[in-house]
Amino acid sequence: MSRLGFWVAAALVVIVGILPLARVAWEGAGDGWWDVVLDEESRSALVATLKLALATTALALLIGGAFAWLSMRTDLPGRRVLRTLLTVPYIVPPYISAVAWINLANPQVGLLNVLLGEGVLNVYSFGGLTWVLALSFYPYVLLTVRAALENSDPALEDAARMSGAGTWRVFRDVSLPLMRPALATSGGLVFMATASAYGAPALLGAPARIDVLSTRIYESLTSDLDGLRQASALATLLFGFALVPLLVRARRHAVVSGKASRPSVVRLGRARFPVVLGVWSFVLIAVVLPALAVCGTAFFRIAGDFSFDNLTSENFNVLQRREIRDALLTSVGLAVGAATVAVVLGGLVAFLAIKTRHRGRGLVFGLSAIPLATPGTVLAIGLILLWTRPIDLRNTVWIMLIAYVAKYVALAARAIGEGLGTIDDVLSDAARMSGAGGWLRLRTIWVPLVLPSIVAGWFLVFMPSFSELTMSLILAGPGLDTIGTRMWELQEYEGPTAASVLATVVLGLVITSNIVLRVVSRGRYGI
Amino acid sequence: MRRLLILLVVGLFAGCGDDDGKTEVWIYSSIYPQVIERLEPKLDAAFPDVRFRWFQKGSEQIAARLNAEFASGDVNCDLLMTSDPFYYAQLAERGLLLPYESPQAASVPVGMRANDHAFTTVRVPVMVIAVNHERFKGALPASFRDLVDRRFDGKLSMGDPLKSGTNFTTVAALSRKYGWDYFQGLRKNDIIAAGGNSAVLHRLETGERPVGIVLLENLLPRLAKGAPITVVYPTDGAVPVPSPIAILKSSPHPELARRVYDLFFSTEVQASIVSGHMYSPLPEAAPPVGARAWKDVPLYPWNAEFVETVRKDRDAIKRRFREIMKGG
Repeated sequence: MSRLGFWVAAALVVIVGILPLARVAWEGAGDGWWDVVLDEESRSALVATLKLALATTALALLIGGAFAWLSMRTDLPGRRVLRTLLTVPYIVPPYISAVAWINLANPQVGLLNVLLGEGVLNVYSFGGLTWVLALSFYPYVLLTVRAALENSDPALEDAARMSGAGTWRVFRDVSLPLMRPALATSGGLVFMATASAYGAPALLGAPARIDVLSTRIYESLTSDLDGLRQASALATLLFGFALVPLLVRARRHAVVSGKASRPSVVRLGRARFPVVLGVWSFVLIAVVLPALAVCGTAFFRIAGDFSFDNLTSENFNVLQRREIRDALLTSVGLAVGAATVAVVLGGLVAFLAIKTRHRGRGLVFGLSAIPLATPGTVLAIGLILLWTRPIDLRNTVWIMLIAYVAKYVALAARAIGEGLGTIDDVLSDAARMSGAGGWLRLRTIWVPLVLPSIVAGWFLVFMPSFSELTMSLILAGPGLDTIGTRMWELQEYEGPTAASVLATVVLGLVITSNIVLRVVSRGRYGI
Repeated sequence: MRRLLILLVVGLFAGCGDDDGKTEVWIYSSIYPQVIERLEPKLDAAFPDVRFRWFQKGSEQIAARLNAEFASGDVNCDLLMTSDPFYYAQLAERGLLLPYESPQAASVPVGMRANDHAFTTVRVPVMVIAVNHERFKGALPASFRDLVDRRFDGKLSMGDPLKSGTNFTTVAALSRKYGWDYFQGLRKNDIIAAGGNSAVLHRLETGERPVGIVLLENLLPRLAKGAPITVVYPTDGAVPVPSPIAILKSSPHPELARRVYDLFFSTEVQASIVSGHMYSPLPEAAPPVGARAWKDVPLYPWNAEFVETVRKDRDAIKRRFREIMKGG
């Protein structure tokens, strides 16, 4: 059973995510490879990418880790609301969020600069780019760590406290070690996703004079007939970024072993006021303002003119177009499909890697992450190269589903892996001794116990698939346009105000469905 | 959720099922989506036995996809209609296009046709200067040359020629006309060169950069909405981006493709294209609504020799531009 599972998982990971990239790499192999890689410009782009990925990872870990702990382990007021609010930056597609931050913090007329004084904040800088990317990606950390904490017994913290440890010591000596594996894993995800990100680096990097690999790759792929060769050589450099996180290994602590856990919290005590102030300032600046910047634009005739006369609802007329509604349906269907497949495949990969002793399990787990570190353009090109002959999947919904699963399966695998890592094998062993088969144990022990992580993983894949742009723009054939491609089209052909209508709708839909899910499930599910 | 999955599956099979025996003709095009919407009924009426399939995306995405299809050895596209003329020159040089001298296109100016008829200009976007006159109160620029004047310091933006074909064309033209010193001057004025034309428009409207080098077609619909934008047709020549149509050599139905090609130069279809805010290459056609008559637009002199030189210098032009923008 587990042998079969291993080979199925390995085959799927390779077919879905690795073969297309191998096909691209093959195009670039040959004499020119070293010329491209050793080129002065390539090297400086490589260094810039590395710096940006490291800085973004650090910032995302700080933000995500702090909020995960605060919302799961302390008596911070408004924890429940915060849980939803803090995932909003993940709901805003990264390219929209970059535009929102241009509106807020461009040195000339950025709204924040209007308040603070011209030129105080400059989004066109290394710091600005890091900030925008970290906001897009810290939810990886938040959700992964939160799911891991949800699984682990707060009695551990209680014990420390009863032995006289203060809040800080409880955090440092108990909570932090518990969170460390999840931090390492999700940090790796941020690192890879940053290395391959295109939208924000393209919009903010050019004025900041920062050149990264993903923008260089896009440049060569989208103009020259011979660009494929150069792009694939550059892409092989990014494959290396997928290996870096594998080097970071943290010791896991199995903390769920069948004893009932009960909710318990750390009292913030005197730190309460400053913490509350800090948290809500962050929510205001990083969550509310950009969301307002996105939605606000949707209600004005001309962007940037905030006068009363300029208010209008006519931008929303685009929603009456049939192609926009079709695109919404396509995107919902694709994102649900991709998230579900990714959770099953990623769950299998994670289970094999963490709970079995198969040779090569770590390799499969590692391979599943390579597409995440690869720019979407490259993956899309690889899929077209691969799925043309003998099987032609171009212009079908399948090639898009494969693209989304390939790109984001690592998010599900990592999140579920973290959940699994906190669970001791004793429960499963006990069930086996009582005669339960593999399937029964999976259904009655593993899945229920890692459910928080499964939900987190599902959402982590659903969101970016829902508004995916880079790959869809190359893959979406006639009748298969998505929200992402329609949003791009509106932006491109009808101006900034029409596009933000769609962004507003996406935001509204996801938040509403999340609230509904919470109410219906009486608070058990939801993000 | 289950219902959505069912919907997805049903949708898939429905999508695969409409094989009605019609010949499929694939058009890869970066043209304004609403223009396609207007074209579709005309095409369907003229070719009742053909099912037209549009891959409608930006020129850059189409090039990326087409390059991959060339590499895979199976090209889906029959007719190509994107904006980057130099890409067509490259395709023609490799013998990937099927030359065709359309009788309908006879009046297209010679400079806007490939010498061997591998491709013909089917629409002409033009690059102009736009000023948000509410946010920029100084004297308007009259020409591209004026933009290096220090009064535009911190006021300028343009698209990124490394990522957008129309902006590449502009840089190619202006660098030949004025040399790279011109771009050093723009750099000194702290020009932002990022994104495509829509990004320039965004910066223009919000006032972040109230003066921009941008496509006229992006401006016209915003003017109709009342945006406070003045269009300047630069006296030293707006840069045309003659956007071709071409038949791929690999097209399985070349005869059909030729007839579609002809149709694109008909008065009717050209009028639809003009309604998408672009000029027609046919001298007798009316200009887009809100735009100057074609003969009154001062233009950068476009010819086949220019296309050929730029095609060869493409990498060098990009590299030089990158160096200048990165430099202090």
